Amino acid sequence: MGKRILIVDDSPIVHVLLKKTLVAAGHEVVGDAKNGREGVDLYGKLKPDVVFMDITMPQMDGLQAVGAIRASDPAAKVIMLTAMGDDEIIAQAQAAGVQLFLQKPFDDYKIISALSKLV
Amino acid sequence: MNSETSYNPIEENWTKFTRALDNMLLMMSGLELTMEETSPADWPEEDMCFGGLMVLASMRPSVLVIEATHETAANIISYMTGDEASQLSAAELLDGMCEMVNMVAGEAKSHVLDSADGFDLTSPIAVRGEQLGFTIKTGAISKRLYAVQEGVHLRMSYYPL
Repeated sequence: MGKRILIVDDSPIVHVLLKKTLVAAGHEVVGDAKNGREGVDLYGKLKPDVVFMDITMPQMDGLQAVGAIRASDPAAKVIMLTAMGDDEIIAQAQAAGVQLFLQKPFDDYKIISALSKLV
Repeated sequence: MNSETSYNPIEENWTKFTRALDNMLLMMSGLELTMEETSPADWPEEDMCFGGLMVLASMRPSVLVIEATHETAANIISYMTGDEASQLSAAELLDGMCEMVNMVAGEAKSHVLDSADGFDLTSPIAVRGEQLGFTIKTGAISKRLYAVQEGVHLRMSYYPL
């Protein structure tokens, strides 16, 4: 069954890439946010099944956004997109409530596998 | 043979960057490139008008640069997204250059996390212009790579500072 997905990333290209793969696999992208602040707002309005969240973004970064989302919904499911396979970043993200990491670069298989693991 | 004296961190990092570029292009766009290390004197005349660069922070900082012709930038993003290359805006190509250099540096970083050659990523920067050229005035070693596939010509350079 398709899931309702929120994408939070400041890169329009990443939005297109993710959306193309997710929609082709039968999921619905219900929201696009270009920074953490918008992501938190949209999460509250849309209550998606899963959030794909970038780390480095203007206004509010992904770690702060995950913290805010999980504070309002401890059951929120978040996949963090990162180019940085850094232990410190991963530890911070896990502490903020991120369940899964998707390291860039990614292909369709990595995206769908990550989603399948989480839901 | 003394492996300590033969170890060259610049060469090691360069190898990781080239592998990361190769992997990124294959995974994201399905492109398999022929890569040749060349000297600037051997470069064909091409208008590299999009550039993505990142300062890599460490005890010995460095700069990673990827340059592309307009056609190359558009074709790579088109292969990645499925969008028609001619319909892509300059803003989308700049965003794509940022993502490319971010992914190449990020993957390379993941292979040097616990080594003395490790570095921290900084925010990627993209530039657009005509006949772009980058010069680092330290006289440090620079490495350039020329990747060729039909409609895809790009260069990657690595400048330890």
